[in-house]
Amino acid sequence: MINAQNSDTIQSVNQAEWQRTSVKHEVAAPLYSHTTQIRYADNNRFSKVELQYDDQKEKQAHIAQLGKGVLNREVNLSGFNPLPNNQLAWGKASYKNKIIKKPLWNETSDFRLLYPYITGDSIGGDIRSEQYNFTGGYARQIKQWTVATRFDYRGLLEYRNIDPRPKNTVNDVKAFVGAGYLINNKWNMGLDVYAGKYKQTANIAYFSELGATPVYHFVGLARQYARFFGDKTSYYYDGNNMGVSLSIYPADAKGMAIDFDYSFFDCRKIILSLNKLPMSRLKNYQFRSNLIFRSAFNNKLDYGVGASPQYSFKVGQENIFGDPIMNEYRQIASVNQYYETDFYTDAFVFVEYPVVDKLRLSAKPAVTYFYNKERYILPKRLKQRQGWNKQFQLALAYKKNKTLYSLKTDLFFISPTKSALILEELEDDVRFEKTERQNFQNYAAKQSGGSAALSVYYEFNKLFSTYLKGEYTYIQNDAQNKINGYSLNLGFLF
Amino acid sequence: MKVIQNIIIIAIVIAILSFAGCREKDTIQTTKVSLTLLLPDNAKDLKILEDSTRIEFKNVSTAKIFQFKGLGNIILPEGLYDCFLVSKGVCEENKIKTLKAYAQSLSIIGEISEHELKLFETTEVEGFVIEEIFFTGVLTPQGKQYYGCSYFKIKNNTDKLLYADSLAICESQFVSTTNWDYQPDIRSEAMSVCAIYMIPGNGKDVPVQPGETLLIADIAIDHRQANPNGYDLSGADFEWYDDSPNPRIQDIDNPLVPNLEKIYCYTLTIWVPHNRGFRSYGLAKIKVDKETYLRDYIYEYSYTMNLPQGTFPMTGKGYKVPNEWFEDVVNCSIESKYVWNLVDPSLDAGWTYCGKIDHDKTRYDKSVRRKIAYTTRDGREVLLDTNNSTYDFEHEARPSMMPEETNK
Repeated sequence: MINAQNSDTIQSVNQAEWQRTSVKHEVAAPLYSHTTQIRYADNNRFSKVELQYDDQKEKQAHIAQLGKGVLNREVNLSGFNPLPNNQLAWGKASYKNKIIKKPLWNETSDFRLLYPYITGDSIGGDIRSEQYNFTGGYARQIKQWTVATRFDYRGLLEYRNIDPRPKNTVNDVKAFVGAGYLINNKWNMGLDVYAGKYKQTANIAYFSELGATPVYHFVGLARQYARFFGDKTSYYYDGNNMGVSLSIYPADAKGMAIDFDYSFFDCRKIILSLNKLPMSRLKNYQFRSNLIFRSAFNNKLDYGVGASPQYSFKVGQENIFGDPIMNEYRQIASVNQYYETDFYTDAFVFVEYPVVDKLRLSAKPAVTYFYNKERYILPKRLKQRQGWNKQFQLALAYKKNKTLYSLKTDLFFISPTKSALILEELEDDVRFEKTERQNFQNYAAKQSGGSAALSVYYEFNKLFSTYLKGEYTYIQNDAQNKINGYSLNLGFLF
Repeated sequence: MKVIQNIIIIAIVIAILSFAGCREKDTIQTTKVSLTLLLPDNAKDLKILEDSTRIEFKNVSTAKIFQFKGLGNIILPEGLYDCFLVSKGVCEENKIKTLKAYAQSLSIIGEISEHELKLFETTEVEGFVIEEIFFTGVLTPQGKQYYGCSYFKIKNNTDKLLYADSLAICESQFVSTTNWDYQPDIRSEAMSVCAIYMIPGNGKDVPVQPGETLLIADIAIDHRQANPNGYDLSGADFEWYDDSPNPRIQDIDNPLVPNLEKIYCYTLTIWVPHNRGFRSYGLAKIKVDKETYLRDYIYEYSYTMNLPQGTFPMTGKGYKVPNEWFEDVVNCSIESKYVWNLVDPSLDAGWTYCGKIDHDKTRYDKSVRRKIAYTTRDGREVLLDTNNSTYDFEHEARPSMMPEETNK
């Protein structure tokens, strides 16, 4: 049965939010992302409208290509709607309007996804960004079986109104289908598959009558594709992705919940300025899992343990071309030059205890091990780090009449135990190396920080509530860098 | 629960198998290169001293340079390469000669890659060299382009008195950034040119002392009067002047500075060296009179333009200057658009530049200047002249005529 329809009584929106903001619920969020398990995400129909404003400032860019912070304004709409006959429909829509502050050596959108094959110049400057997201899903339960489908769309437009003038347009779509089977009325086993298409079209224009500055097509670890630097300013990325996940979730939200997720992204960078020359190809294999055990002591004290290992492997292939014949470059070879291995796993425990009916306390200590290694084969280049991240989260929720208060604090301390940067055979342009070394200082530095978020919900009636949330984040590292960020959210639940 | 356990085990096994193929490699594919050296046509008796052979391969994709001694054991990562070779050869009279070879765009792929390199003999001809070319121009305080400041500097690079009479500045017909496969390809015998301006004289009218330089300006005036960013070229030894029929495009003639003799120029208005640096410039002794030259040294060529709009057979006409007439040639280009060298490698096997991309706005106020090889005991600077301007020239240099007080 679709869970939401099991509710005998209608909960007030604040009561539902009380449950949603519990750690017990939040730790299982990755499991709910599967279309075949989303029905366990909530017991109630709800809709949310949220306005968000956040501003993050970095004293010095942690990653130069991503800039010195982001000013973001967004509107989020979401709905979760159980329907008759064991059906469920849900959807989300959002619009984000951002200013990315002074990124350098990067004019490409979706930097993390497409690195190392990004394009940049020495000038950079603030980028304006507008992003639209739409998600719609539908699930239906027929006896023990669940069938579900979901469609995600992301549209992104990023640009700058002074030279250099990048204009990037991203279309990213994914379609999911899944089937689930409820075993022994306890374990819902789901199999989800998805396929997607990614495309980013990019062009950098110069309006100055005196000319332009060079554009570089980077290939990783401060190297560029020297042959195609300069004025090849039109390019696009053409990618495909697919994935499969297997998940098992306890219908009563107690006991083990597990998922395994495998995804693959394959993307080519094509330079339009050179007659659609396929410069490079990036393959990214990713494996993720979540293992969670939750239970309750005397039906009062909730506790649980979990781990979320993730492993990803990137391979970057550069294509080599002969001389152009009739303005077309003939590919003569290709070589795998770039590899990135990334692994991390966290392990956490949590306890959540309602001190009194109206007051709930929770604590969640966690420790994460991380390992990251980037390599460029020839000339030899290496960037590597591994270490630990220790986190502690403390949360408090308090209900009083029509008001719900939620306070969450989070502290963390990242301590790399090993780090290395090797850059052999430097480029003529020392600025690439300087940027890479500056990035490495932050990458290898010990880092500590925390955040505090206070939310206040006010319920006008059982079916309508509004909330205000403020959050402050502070991070510093021993490379003398600091990040200050705050966000304000105004939302309506109904 | 047993079913679930089995499913989990299967999932883990599938995941492990999926990643079994995700292995890093420590090396990339390399190719053994086998080179066959072809002797110059006029020196078939030469015996190459292989120990003296130095080879340099430049990977076109990465700009990485690989250097080798001798022909054996050349192993390179797969790719497209430009190759430059220097060697010594002994002739029958036991004289040692310097040999060079240059080949562009060698496709080096597979296990073994075999190539032939045609050697040419280089003689260290002592004479005039192009010391500096300033073609980029300057900007006005308003940031606009300002014309007329271009200049060439020609140096007597010997320890003897030389005469510059009949020495001509030549600009190449073609540009180094576009190659439409012009036929016939005459590079092995001559350079195709679109402008020739010659120093007048009857043989001994323009003496140049050892180490001395001639300044040849576009407009030999003090440009600072018109543009504070300009240079003072009023002291030039010569200027080139064009009598333009277009009243809107007029040259300025400084009567105090002698003009070059215009042999030929493609334009009827005024000649300005290519200010983005796409052309080559040569210094040649014109060995015939103007009429004979214009009659006998015509170069007619054909080519096919392949454009998205279609294929167009084309023809063109210019002039050619025999390779033997040249004292010096300098190829110019820009890195982002460079396609080919416009002259035979024996004249210039490399190229120099100001600016890295087309319309590079950082190129202004920069010149290409020949490096100093050494200074003699009497203080004479001898410039480097290996017939490879990639090495011989300082790229994007500060122009020598830029006022000292200009902080650029």
